[in-house]
Amino acid sequence: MIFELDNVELSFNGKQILYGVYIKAETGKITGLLGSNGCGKTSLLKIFFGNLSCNNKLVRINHKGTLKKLYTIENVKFLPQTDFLPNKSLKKLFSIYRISWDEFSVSFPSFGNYQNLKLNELSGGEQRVVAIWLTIKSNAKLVLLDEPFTHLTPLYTAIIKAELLREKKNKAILLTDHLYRDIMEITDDLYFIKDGCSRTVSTDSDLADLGYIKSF
Amino acid sequence: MTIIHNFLFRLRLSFHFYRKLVISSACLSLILFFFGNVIEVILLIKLIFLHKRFFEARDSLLFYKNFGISPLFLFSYCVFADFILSVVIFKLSILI
Repeated sequence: MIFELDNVELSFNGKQILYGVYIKAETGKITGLLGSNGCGKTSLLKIFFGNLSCNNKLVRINHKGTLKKLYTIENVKFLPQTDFLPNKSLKKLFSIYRISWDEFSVSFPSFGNYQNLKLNELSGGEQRVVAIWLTIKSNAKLVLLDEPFTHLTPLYTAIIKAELLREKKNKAILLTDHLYRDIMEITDDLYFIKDGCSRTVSTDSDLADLGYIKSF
Repeated sequence: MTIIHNFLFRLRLSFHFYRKLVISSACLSLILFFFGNVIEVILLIKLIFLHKRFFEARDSLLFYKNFGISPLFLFSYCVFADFILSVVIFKLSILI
């Protein structure tokens, strides 16, 4: 499946944040989104999902345009930066998402006996791991991840990256994070948001030219 | 079959949301009945109460959106379930 977001225009208090943005995510690929703080990456993901209204946008699914909110017509999952899961037991949450607990506990052995704990009994980082896992392992056709690697230990980041590479066979994945090396390592397509517009980038020197990292 | 299954799943998930409101809503109904309000007034007050609680919980709606449940669907479900609860309490209070 191909999901496209085109002609995005967003302004806050008269200030134009996004205009002329184009993003494409497709099954079998991981698409990355980079940009400096406040450039509109999170807003873009929210607009794609249908959680934020904007002045103008066009969402296309397999080249067919729709004006409806994406989450109401397709199986899409969105991982925001903030906590969004209800305070239920992990067992209940895994059952709601229809995801195997055993597979999770094999990947994260330290969670082995947490199954009956409620979410708020875990640390912030552990809650984040659960939220990421539930989102990427769901049966969604499109997964939108807002800063999935932030607050994770390097080991957990490596596990999640490996899982994303496995899961991309069945779904389109679009993610953003400031840990750009991790993003560049796993993405097939990479967009950079600057001055309200999107452009494709592929190397460190592209990012240096755009002022995102220091020039070498 | 899948559509019906998905619809039932969404109803079950919506009940998870409504469950948090049941006790406070039932208490409010009992207080309003105790002061002898008519059912129409009680339902109107409950509608305002639900809208307020729904507005307070708007940040938690993202979880439900992840399962294709729109805020309108969720609010309609809560209103419907709450009206049934209020009518049941009203009928019971008349019997007692």
